[in-house]
Amino acid sequence: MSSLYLLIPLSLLLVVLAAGFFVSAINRGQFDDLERFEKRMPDDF
Amino acid sequence: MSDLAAPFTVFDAPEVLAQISTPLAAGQREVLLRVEGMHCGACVRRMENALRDVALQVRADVPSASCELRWQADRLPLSSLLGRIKALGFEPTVLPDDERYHQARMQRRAALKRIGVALLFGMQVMMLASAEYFGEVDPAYRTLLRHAQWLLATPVFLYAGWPFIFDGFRALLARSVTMDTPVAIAMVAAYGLSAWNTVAAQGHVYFDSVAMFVLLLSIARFWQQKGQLLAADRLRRLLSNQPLLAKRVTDDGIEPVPVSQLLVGQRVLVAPGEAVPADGRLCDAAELDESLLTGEALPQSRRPGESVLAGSVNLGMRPLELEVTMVGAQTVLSQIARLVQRAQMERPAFDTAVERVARHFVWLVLVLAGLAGFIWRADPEQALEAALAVLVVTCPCALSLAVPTSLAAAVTRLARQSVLLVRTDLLLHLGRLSDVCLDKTGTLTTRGMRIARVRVCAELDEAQCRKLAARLESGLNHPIARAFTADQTVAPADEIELRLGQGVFGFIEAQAHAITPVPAAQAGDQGGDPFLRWFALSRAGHTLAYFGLVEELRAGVRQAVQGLRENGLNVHLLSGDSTTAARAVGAYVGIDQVHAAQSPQDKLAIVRRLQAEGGRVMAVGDGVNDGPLLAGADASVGIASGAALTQAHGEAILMTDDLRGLGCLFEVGRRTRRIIAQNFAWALSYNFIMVPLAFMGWITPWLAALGMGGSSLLVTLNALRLLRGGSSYHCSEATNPEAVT
Repeated sequence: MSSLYLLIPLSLLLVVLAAGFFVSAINRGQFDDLERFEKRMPDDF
Repeated sequence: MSDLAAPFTVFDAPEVLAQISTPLAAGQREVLLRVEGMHCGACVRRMENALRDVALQVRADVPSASCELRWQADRLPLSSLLGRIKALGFEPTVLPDDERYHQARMQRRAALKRIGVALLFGMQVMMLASAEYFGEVDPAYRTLLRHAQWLLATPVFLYAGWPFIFDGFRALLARSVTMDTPVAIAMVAAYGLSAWNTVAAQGHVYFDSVAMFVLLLSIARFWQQKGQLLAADRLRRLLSNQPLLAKRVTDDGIEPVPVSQLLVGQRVLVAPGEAVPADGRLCDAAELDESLLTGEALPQSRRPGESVLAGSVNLGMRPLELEVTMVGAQTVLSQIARLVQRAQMERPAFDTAVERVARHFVWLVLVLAGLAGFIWRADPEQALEAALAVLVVTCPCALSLAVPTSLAAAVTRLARQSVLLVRTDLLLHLGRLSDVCLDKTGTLTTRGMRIARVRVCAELDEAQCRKLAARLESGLNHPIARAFTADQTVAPADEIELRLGQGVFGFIEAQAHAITPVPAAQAGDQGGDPFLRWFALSRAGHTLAYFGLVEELRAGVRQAVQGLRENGLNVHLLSGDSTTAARAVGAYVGIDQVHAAQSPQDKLAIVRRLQAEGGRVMAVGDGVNDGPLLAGADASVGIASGAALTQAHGEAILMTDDLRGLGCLFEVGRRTRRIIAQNFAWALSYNFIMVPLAFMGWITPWLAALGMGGSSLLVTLNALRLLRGGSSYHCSEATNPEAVT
C-alpha cells in the first residue's frame, strides 16, 4: 500500500500533462469546428 | 468614472463613431455592444438602472451577451456610457458585426477548456474519493487521499467553476441574485467545508461533489452557448459577403480603398465573382446573384441605372461599375443584419414577467436551503447534504431559458428562409388569429404588369405597334407604362400627357397618338378573360392595335392562401382596384371574401369591423399604400424584396417574391409555441417534484447537479429542435412567377 505515496503524485503529474495538452490543442483552434468534418467530402485520398 | 471611460475615448472620434454606430433621428445614434459578464435578467436590470439617465434605450440580450444602446450622440460621448457599464463590473466591447462571431468562438474555446479541465481532474477526484465509499480507510492513507483530492479539486473549483462563483457572488454583492447564486453558494460551502475537514482530519469531504457540479453545469452552459453561436453564425454569413476593400474609380485610375472610406457619389468597380461593397446605381448592365439578400436563387439581370445592393455578387464576365448611393450602416444588407439582430434581442413582455418570477424563485430556493439545513441540524452531515441538494437541484434556469432560447431559435430558423421577424411577440400571437386580410396590388400580385396579348388591326406589324406604344409611355412610372416600356429603349414621344382614367396622349412624328383603356368586348375578346385589361393604341382616332395586359401574381399565392385556410383562418382580399379585377384575382387564388375599390381608410375600416366582431386580424401588405391597414391590424406582415426593404413595415417581413413564406411563419410559430409550452411544463414539474425530494434529504448532491444540468440542457436542446426538421419547403428555392393567362 505504501506504493500509493509514489503512484498518486505520479497520477497527479499525468493529469496535469493531459490537461496541458488539451488546453493547448484548443488554443490552437483544433476544436473550433467539429461539425465541418462530418459534412466534408473525402477529397484527399 | 472618468478613468474608467478613458480607454473608450477612441470611439468618440466622429469618423470612428460613424463606422460603429447607426445614426437615428435628431443626433441620436445606436451602437451594438458585447457585454462580458451579463448572464441573467438581474444583470440586465442593473445595467438598465445605471444607464437610465444617459441612454435613451437599452436593449439587452442575455443569450448572446450583447446589448443595443441608443443615446444622444451630440450631447454625450460614447465613452462615458461605456465607462458606466464598466463601473458595474461588466466588460463592454463595441462590436463591428464580425467581431460578434469571433467573440462567440473565443467563448466556446474557453468553455471547452473548462469542461476539459473539470473532466480530467474531476475523474481523478472521484476515483480517489471512491476509496472511502467502500469502508474505513487507514487514517494515514486517508490523509494522503484527501490531500490529493483537495489538490485535484482546486483547479476544477477555481478555474472551471470560476464563472459560476464569480457571477453568483457578484450579484450577491450588489444585493441581488442570479440563477448562479445558489450553485455558487453550494460550491463554495462544499469546497470550504471539505478543505477544513481535510486539515482537521475529521468528518466527510465533498470534493467529488464539487467536481461533479462544475462538470455537469459547464456542459449544460456549453450547450446553451452553442445556440448563441448558431445565431451569430447566421449574421456572420449575412455580413461576410461584405468586402473590406473597394476599387474606387478616380481620374488617375483605380485605387483600392477601405469600404468604410467610400462616399456617396463615388464610382467603384466590382470584379467578376466579387461582392458589391455598397448600395449603388449601375453604370453598365449586369447579372447579379442576390440570393443572400432576397433568397432568390436565380441570377438577376439588371440594366444600367437600376440599383444594386451591397452583398450581391457580380456573376458577369466583365467588371461592373457602379455609383455609390448608400454606404456602411445605411446599406440594405446592414439593415437586414440589424433587423435580425434586433429580433433576437427583442424581449416580449411575457418573457420579462417570467424572468421576474424566476428571480423570486431563486430567493425562495435560498430560504428553503437554509430551512432544510435547520431542520436536519441534529445531524450536521445530513443537514449540509440536504441544503446543498436543495441549492443545486432547483433549476430556475430552465424557467428563465424556456422562452428566450425558443424565440432565438425561431428567429434564426425563419431568417434562413428569408422571413425576417421584427417583433418576436408575433410568434406568440399567431395562434389566436381569426382573420387574414391580404392586400391585392403588391401583395398577391407583384407591382408589375405585362403584355399578354396583342391584336393588330392596321397595316403595321406587332413590333411597330409595340414600339409606338413604348414611345408614348416612356418616362412614365406607372405599372401599365412599365409593361409597355419593359424591353425597349426608344425615344419618347412629344408632349406626353397622362390623363387619369383616360389614358396617355402624345405626338409621334407630329401625329396625335393615344393609348386608352377599352372594354374587353370592343377589343374583340369575346371570351371575356377577366384577368386581361385591354388598351387601344390609336393614331388620330384610328385604332392601330389592342393590347391585353395581365397583372403578375406572386409565386406560391394559391398554396399560401390554401395554407392559411388550413390554419383555420378566414381569408379576405382587400383591393383598391376595380371589382372585376379584384374578383378575378380572388377567384384564381381561392378567396371569396373580396372587398374591391377600397381606399386605405376603407381597408382599415374593414379591419376595425372584424375586430369589433371579436376577430383578431393579421394584415399582409407591401407597405406602399396599406400603411394604415398594417398599423391597425393585430398582427402585420410586410412584403419586401431587395431595395423595398426600407419601406417595409410589419412585425415580420417576407424577403422573397414567394408568398409561401407566410406558411413558414405560421408553421414555425406553431412549433415555437408548442416548444415553449413543453419547456414550461418541464421546468415547473421538475422543480415541483425535485425540491421536496431534496428537502427530505433523498437526493445526494451529485445527483442534484446532474438533475439541474440536465434540466437546463433539455430546455435548450428542445428549443434548438426548431432549427431543423419541419417544413420541406424552402423559400430560397428557385421560383417561377406565375402568370394567370
